[in-house]
Amino acid sequence: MTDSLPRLRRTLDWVQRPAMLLAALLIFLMMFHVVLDVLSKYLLNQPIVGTLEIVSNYYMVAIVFLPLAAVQLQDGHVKVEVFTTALPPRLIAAFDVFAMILTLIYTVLLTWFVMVEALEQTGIREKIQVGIELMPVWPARWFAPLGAALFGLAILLSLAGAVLRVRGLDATTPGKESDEWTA
Amino acid sequence: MDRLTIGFIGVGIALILMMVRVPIAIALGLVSLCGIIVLRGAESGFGVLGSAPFDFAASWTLSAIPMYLLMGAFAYHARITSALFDAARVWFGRLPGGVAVATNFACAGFAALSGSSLATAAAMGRIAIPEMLRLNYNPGLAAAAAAAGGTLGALIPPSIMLVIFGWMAEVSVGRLLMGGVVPGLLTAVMYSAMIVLRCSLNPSLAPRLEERPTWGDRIRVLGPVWPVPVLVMAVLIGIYGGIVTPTEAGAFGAFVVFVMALARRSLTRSVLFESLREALISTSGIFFIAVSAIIFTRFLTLSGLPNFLSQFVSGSGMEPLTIVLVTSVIYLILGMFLDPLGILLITLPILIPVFKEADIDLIWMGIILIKYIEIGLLTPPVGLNVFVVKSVVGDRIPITQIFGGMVWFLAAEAVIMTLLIAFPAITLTLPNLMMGR
Repeated sequence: MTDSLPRLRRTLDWVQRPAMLLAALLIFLMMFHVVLDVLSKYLLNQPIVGTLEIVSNYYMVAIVFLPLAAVQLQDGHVKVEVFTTALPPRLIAAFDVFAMILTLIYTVLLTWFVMVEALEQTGIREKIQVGIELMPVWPARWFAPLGAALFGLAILLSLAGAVLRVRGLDATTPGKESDEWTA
Repeated sequence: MDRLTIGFIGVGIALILMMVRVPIAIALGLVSLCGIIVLRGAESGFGVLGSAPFDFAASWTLSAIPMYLLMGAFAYHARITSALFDAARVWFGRLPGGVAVATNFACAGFAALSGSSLATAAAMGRIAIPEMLRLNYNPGLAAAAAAAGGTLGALIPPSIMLVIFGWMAEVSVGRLLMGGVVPGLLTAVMYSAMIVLRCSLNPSLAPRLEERPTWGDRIRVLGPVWPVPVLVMAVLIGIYGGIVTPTEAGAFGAFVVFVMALARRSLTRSVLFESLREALISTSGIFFIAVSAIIFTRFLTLSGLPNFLSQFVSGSGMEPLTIVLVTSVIYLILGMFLDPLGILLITLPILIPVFKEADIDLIWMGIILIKYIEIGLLTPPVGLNVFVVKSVVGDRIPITQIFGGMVWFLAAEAVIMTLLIAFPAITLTLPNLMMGR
C-alpha cells in the first residue's frame, strides 16, 4: 500500500493539472470577457451578446468544479478542528479515516448523479435562449462530473494517508509537493 | 417520526459530524441528502444531488465571488499592500500608536480591493507587524491591530460574505455592499480612537516616531496608491448607480489591479499563475460548501423546521430587538468555534424566515450578522484572523499575547455593535440615499 501511494499521486497529478490549467485560463478569460462587455456596452452602446449566459453557464461551472481535487490536495476543504486538537495523533487520524470514508461516499454519489444529469442534457442537446438565438449549454454540464471524479481520486489519496497515520506510519502531509502545477 | 423531528435530528447529526473533523461541506451535504431521502424518497434526494450543483454554480449573482477573489489575489501578489502601508504611515505615523493606526487604515484601503477578511489580515500582517516590532511597539498591540484590521475586508466592498448573504436572503447585493461602507469606516475609526487613547495613556506601548514627514512627502506617497481610491469610487458609484452589477464591478476591479500590477512590474508569470490558482482554490472551496448549503436548505424546508421556528418566535410575541439580541448571542457563541461561511450557511436558512416574519430589515441585519462573524474571527479558541497573523509572525509573538492585545479591539467592537444595533440609520442611510428605498 505504501508503494501504490506515489503511483496514485502521479496519476492524479497527471489528470488534475490540465484541469487546473483549463480553469485558470477560464477565470482569466472571464475577467477580460466581462470587462470588454462593460466597455463595449457603455462606450459603444453595443453589449457583447450572451456574456451573462456564457459567464454563468460555462466559466462559472468550470471554475467551481475543476479545482475541487486541487483544493483537497492542499487539505483546503474547511473542517472544524478545535474539538479534536488535544487528542492523540492516531485518534485524530482515525477520525480522518471516518471523515474521508463519508467524503468518498458523498463524492461517488455526487459524481454519479451529476453525470446522469450531464448525460440527459447531452441527450436532448440542452440549449438556452440568448436574445433570439439558442446557445447550447450541455457541454458545460460535463465540467461537473469531471471535477467531482477528480475530487474522488484526491479523496482516495487522503484516505490512504489517514489509514497510514492510524497505523503509526507517518506519511508526509498530503499535497504539499504537488502544488507547483504551474511549473 | 414526524417531519420536524427528522429536521432537528438532521441538524444535530450535521453538527456532531462537523465536530469530528468531517469537512463542513460533506457533513451538510450527506446529512441533507439522507434527510431528503427519508422525507421524500430516494428519487427526490438523488434528483437534488444531480441538479443542485450545476444550477447553483451556473449563477450570475455569485459570479462576483471569483472576480473579487481574483482582484484580492492580484492586489496581494502585486504588493500593492506595501504602498498602501507606506502612505498610511506617513499620514498617521505622528499620532500616539500611529503605526498601528496606519495599519488599520491601510487595512481599510486593502479591504477595498479584497473581499476577504483573512486575506486582508495576512497581507497587512506580513508588512505592518515586522515594522511595528522594529519600532518597539508592544507585540500584542501590533499583532492584534493587523488581525482586527483584517475584518474590514469583509465589510468594506467588495465582500464575499455580503454576496453570499444577499444571495441567501434574496436581497440586493449592491444595496448590501453599500450598507457595509459606513459600518466598515466606523469600525476603522473606532479601532483607531481606541489605539490613540490607549497609547496616550500608556506611551510605553508605542514609542513616538522621530521622523517628521513634510507635506511634500505626504503628497509623494500618494503617487503609487491613487488608483485605489479612484477604483473604489468608480466601483461604488457604478454599483450604487445601478450602472454595473457587482460581478461587472469585480471583473473591472480585478482588471484595474492587474494593470496596476503590470505597471509596477511586479506581475511575473509565476505571480500571475499563483494569483489565478489562489482565486480558483478559494472559489471552489467556497462553492463546494455552498452547494451543500443549498441541499441543506431544501432539506430544512421539507422538514418544516424554519417555518416552525418563525411561527414559534412570532407566537411568543418576541420584540424584534429581542430577536436581534438572541441572534447576537448565538452568533457570538458559534463564532468561537465554527468557520464564518459555515455559520452563515447553517443558520441563514433557519433565521431568514424568522427575520422576515418579525419584519426586520434584512440589509441592516445582514451587516450586523457579518460584523458578528468577523468578531468570531478574533475570539478564542478559534480566531482564524489571529491564527493567520500568528502564522505570519511565527515564534516572535505567542498566541496568548495576540489574544491579550485583542481584548481592547473587542471592547471597541462592543461599542460599535451597540451603535449599529441602536441606530440602523448608520447602516441604511447610504444605500437608501444612493439607491432609493
